[in-house]
Amino acid sequence: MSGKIVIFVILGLIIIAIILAVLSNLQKPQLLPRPTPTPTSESTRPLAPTIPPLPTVAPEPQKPFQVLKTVPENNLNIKHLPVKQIAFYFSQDVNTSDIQFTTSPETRTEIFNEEGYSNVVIISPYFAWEPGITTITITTNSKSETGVNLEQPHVYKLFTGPLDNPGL
Amino acid sequence: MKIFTFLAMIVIFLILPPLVGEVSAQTFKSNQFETKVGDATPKPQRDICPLDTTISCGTYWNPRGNCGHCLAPGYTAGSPPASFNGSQPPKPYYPFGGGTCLYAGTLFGIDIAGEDGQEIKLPTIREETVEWEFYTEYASAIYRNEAIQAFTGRLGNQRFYLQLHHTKPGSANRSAGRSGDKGANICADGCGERHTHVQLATGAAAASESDWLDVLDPKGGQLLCQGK
Repeated sequence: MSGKIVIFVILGLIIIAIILAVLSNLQKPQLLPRPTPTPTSESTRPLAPTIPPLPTVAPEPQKPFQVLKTVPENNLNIKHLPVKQIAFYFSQDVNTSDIQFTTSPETRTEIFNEEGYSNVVIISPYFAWEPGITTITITTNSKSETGVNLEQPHVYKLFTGPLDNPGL
Repeated sequence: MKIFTFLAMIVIFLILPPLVGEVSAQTFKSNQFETKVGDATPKPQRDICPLDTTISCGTYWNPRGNCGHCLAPGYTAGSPPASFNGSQPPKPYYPFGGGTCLYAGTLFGIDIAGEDGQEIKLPTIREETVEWEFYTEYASAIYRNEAIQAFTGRLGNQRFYLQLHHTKPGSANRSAGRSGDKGANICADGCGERHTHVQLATGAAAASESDWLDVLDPKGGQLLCQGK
């Protein structure tokens, strides 16, 4: 009698296990084999339906890459401190390594992005500008992040020097 | 019978583990908690003030020792009105109508007490070491035997301009390097100042109308002479 019960229980467990296995297989996504293209000769290929040509879309014109403004503004009537940094606001995002510029007189400088603004570049003296007028020219070799060259050279002039009224 | 039971168990163990495994993979996830305990070692004092003495007169907005530069007698210091545009305090707070406060940077600076000839150090800014370079010497327009020594400084991407007043002419350290190095000496030879006046300005492009900085402004951390 007990032998029959054991067989009955074992059979029940086997059936439950089989049902679970079948259910788990049903839930798995079926991976279909990738259809392999069969080569067809010109003579056997069915005639393709005629598809009307797509309308040609004109390429989107590139946005011009230029300097929109500078801070402080280009004004030789204002004498600045010898440590004044210049912010150049470009029309597109830039990597500072792609900005080419010259200074006259030649001055050791540093260039970096304004924190949080990828279209604003700061040109800074390493320590100080030479007293007098410094001309900073951003050349047309400069590129935007998308690879567009600067439309035209941008010339900025800065007047710095010792203070006229430093105090007592 | 035993063989049948044995075969049945094998079948069960072959089928069930993959199912159980999937469940286990989803169940056993551990959470890790990181507990930060307070810094046991106190922050070392890194501030370098031009003179390691006391501030004998503060700025217009942040007086010290009952004294604020350009603060007119009878007026109390405090936050300027909301209409303040960052360049000059509005009347009637703008004091005296002349004197030393005609100069743009005076009211932003501080006086630090010292002795004739005492060495003035190039300071840290907000406890950060600054690279300083001598820029120029200005002769005092009025006082004999006095000069102003100007330095330019770089701290990361920031640039600063420093003026040390009431110094001995020719005493500037023209090979200055960094905070803690000698900047100049307080004037002597009868100048009678026995203090230096220190002004600091920023080179930031977008600075307000005035580039001068209130060196005792507590916002963002006092720029010079922390703890004084």
